[in-house]
Amino acid sequence: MLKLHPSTIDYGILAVYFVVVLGIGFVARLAIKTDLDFFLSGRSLPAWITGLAFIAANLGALEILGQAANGAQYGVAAVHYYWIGAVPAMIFLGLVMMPFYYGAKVRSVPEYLRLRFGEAAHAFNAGTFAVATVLISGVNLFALALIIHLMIGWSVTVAILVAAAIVLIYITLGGLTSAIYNEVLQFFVIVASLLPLTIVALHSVGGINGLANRIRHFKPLGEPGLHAWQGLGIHHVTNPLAADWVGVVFGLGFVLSFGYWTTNFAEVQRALSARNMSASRRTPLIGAYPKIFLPAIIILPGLIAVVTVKGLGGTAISQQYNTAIPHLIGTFLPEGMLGIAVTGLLAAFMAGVAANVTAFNTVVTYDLIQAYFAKDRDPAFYLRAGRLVTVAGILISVVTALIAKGYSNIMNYIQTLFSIFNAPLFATFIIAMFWRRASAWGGFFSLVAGTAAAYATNRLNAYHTIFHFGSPLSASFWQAIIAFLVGGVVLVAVSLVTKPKPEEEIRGLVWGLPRKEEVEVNEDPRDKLWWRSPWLLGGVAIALLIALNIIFI
Amino acid sequence: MESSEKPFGVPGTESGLAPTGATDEEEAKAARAANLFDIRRLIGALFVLYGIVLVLIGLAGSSHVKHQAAGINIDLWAGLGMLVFGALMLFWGFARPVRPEPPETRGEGSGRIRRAPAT
Repeated sequence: MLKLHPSTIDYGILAVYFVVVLGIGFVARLAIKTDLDFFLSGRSLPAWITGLAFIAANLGALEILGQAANGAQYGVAAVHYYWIGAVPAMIFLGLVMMPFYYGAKVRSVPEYLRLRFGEAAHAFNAGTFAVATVLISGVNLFALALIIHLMIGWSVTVAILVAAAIVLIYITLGGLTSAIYNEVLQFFVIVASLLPLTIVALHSVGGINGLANRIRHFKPLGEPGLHAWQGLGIHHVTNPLAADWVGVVFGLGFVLSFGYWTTNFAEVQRALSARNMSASRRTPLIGAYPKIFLPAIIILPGLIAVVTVKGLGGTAISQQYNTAIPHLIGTFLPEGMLGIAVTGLLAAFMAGVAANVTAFNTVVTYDLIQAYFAKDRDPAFYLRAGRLVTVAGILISVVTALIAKGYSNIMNYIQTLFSIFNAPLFATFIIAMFWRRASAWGGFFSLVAGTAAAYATNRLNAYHTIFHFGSPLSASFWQAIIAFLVGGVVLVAVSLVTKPKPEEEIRGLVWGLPRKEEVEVNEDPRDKLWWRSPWLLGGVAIALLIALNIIFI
Repeated sequence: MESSEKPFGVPGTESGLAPTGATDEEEAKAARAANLFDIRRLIGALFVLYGIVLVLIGLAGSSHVKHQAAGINIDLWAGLGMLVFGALMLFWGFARPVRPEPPETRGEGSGRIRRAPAT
């Protein structure tokens, strides 16, 4: 039952959403006076909005369908992607790293590298980020089109063009504000569709106990499919992930996740748009709470689908694990809720594209055009440039999406992109922030060597010549660890033989070298309230994580 | 660092921000506009609308609509939930509206969005 049959009312619900989305774009346009308004919402937003946008920016097509697929394929162990592979990094970003980013008033993540390491590292990072982001945005667009095609029957090409046109209109008009408002809206709509869906699906299999019983007797998952931490012993891997605990904790939990959540500008941009330091630190911390509970409405449906949808996990496109949630929607949701669910999915897909496009236009405008091609122009110039870059970015995404049509396994493609472009960054950033001796050339060669190592491991692994990692997942964990080590070793080695940056130049960018005078703009006395303390928010989130990991051990 | 040596992106180098900001009158007008564009009210209105539609379908729909979801009338229940959520968002948006920025902090941002959804 993959093909859905939305009624007029369902299409009406979808149409209302599109009208609201475009309306936000038109209204947000009125508030945009300068380039900073367009790219960073004028650094004006409160923490709850940026916090929800922070996770919604990641809650795109590939995330929702892909994590439900992981739930169906790997069972409860898929929660590692949330509780190990996301939340600790988000907490670390809020407590430790945001003070450097926000305090330096940089407008993008590459700009931090420019201040810390100079132009070589900056140009390399900005360039690779721009390329990777636009490719990922294209893949998101393709995934969106594919699901529209499967669920409501539009042709893939038409779906790509319509979705791209809507994103193009609201981002070009309203910039980051439009994107963030829509991310918040999308977050609530996706919860409003997945929560009822999960409840009825769970009811249909006899509640949690009924589900657990059926998983226990279901091949190939069985009992291991109900546990997150069992069967992870080195050389005794019986977990469905086929990874040992070193791969999970260091590869996924440390390198991959910290690389993504703390250095990917599509995420950090949301925190940079917050209205003051306190709000920017709380952005990922507030986002951590919904993130902790999202598995209940994303992974759980995947688990239910695998025991209720006949043939799920097959090779036909309508039977792939990725279709777990669309299958449940088709089975359970009547007219009305069907409209909400279709709206939620399409909104999430568009938000995924929009998050990448807003990061892309900012980095291209500030870190490439302004930094190297057109310095010292007036703000109107960069605002116009930003809008043109948005159009160009979406056009490239459309072309990428049409190319991706030709590849069968887009999930592998995207994981390859992430592990090559994202994982190596974390070593560079973390050492940059904590070791003042790290030099400009150390930073540059660390980025180059880390990326090269990730690429090389990926290729070697693809041909199975040297490494054998069990599963592609386990391979991506180990690939990240290798890239991290190479990047870190090169950074330390090169720094020791090159000239460090003078301390005056890296004040406020490195741990232990605070700025001489702190200028807190937009300070809000209410941010001193105890429940707005970043350390409290982070501490409670960690306590929740520990408790949940023990429950699902 | 002196401002002449500042690389771009350091505070004070973005042009276009008025240092002292707007008059009281302009500020009040901006706050009104920000209230219209308050995302709490947008979310609230959208969810109230969706909630009403779903409740109506749940009450008046065919037997199939009422029972497809494992026997639960999901449109009715989800619709009620969305109504309550939407109403709470509207209440929050109206009970704590955006107020005009006091003169001492005025002008540090760059537009009415800065004042938008205050909490």
